[in-house]
Amino acid sequence: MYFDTGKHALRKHRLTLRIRSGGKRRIQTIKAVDTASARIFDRLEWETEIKGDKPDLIAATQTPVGDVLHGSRASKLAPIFKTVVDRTTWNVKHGGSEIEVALDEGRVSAHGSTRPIAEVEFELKRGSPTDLFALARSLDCVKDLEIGVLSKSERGYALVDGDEPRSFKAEPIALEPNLSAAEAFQNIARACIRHFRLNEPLLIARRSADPLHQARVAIRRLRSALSLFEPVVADQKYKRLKRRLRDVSHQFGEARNLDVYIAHTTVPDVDKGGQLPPFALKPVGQAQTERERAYERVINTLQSKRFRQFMQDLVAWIQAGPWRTSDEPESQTARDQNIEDFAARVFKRRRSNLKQHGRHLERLSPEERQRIRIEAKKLRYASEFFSKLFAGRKHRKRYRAFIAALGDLQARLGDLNDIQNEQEIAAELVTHKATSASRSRARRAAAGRLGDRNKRTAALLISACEAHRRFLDAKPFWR
Amino acid sequence: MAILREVELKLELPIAEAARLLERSFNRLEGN
Repeated sequence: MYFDTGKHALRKHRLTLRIRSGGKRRIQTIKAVDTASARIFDRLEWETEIKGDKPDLIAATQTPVGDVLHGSRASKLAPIFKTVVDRTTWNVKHGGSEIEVALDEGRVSAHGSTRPIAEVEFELKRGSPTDLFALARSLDCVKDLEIGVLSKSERGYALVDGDEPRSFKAEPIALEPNLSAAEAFQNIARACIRHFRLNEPLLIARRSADPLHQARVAIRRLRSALSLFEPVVADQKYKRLKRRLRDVSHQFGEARNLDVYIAHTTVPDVDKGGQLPPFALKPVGQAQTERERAYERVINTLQSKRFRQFMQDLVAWIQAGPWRTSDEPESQTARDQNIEDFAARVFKRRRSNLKQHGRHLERLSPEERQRIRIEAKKLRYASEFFSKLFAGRKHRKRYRAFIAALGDLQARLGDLNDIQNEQEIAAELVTHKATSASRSRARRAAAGRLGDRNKRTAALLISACEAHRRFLDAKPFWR
Repeated sequence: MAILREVELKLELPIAEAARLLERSFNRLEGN
């Protein structure tokens, strides 16, 4: 049984309190999600045997729960959801290592609703991380399973919340200044995998734009993390993983571009209360068909054995790839460098690139502008990844201004890119799909819209140049 | 005792049948 206050005070502080019953024994377990939520304590889990079925708050005073549940809050603690789980464990020896495998089957229930829980966990007890993943990879019954990212308490809270959200945004990443570059990369990459996996089932079930967009953002963030940390993680597997991520990303991109195209082409006209022009119907109808096909391709990829194996390989590589286990002195030095120093160097280089390449933005080709947009995006992801490292008041203030300026630049360049994509999609739909009558109607319509688009492009270019200037004015928050 | 994040892999099982398959595999592995 899990406990919290009516307003979920523990959850807000990223803590959980559970009482586990086994025969006559009652064990109270308090967990902190990460070191930030553990506050001054140097661990993440506290277990005490207690008497009775209610939380023992005296035992909890020596944990972060003691700080959160002071005064009248403590009396508001009540049972909130329940998990019943049968656990079967095996101790397996593989390649000289000892691995505990735990199969959990059961259910979580709250307010009369119930959801099943079925997951398997591999945990290294002794030996090499490489063996753990080699064991998982050697078993056919494991190969096409999906990565699990939700804890049992998160499943419980999701059930208490009721309706599933439309999609999940990226969560802040709690990095500490004393981490090594390797540890920081692992935290960031794990957060990206989690972001992706939270949205993946929603995308498959609903085929809607929001989870597709978020899953795509998760992959892009991960690709950015791979580029940012290239000096630390570039081993013999690096290029292959990056290529595969790029291919998946392109597939998502095709579906996303059609979503944007359809939204831009239909919604504004209808929203203004106007009739959709007849010439627009055919291309939009075709775009809808193309969109369905693009979604089908994405979902087929996600549900393929090859992709699931790839995700497991990716998780294995993040935790125990050659970059992580190599004894080469150069590799060790790269891994062990302090993350704050590493981040400051990354920012300095990326900002200076964006400063230089973004000069005379108005004279650049759409392809060159697109490259700058990607540079801006990478710098923004890096700023988000590393923001918690620079937590002082001055840093926070500068960070907000920096992110706002960068976001603005990215948005202007994004709008320019959307116009470019719309033109390409429209041209493609007209060329390949339309009948000759609708083709000539669509051409006339496209010509009419072209003038409008040229005007929009010119206006956006001016504001993109201004955004670039404002970005250069924003003070670096990492200094 | 401090319990920090260890090397681990968590996977979701789509159907009960997958759990039975796993059970058979690991019973065999542990038996060896």
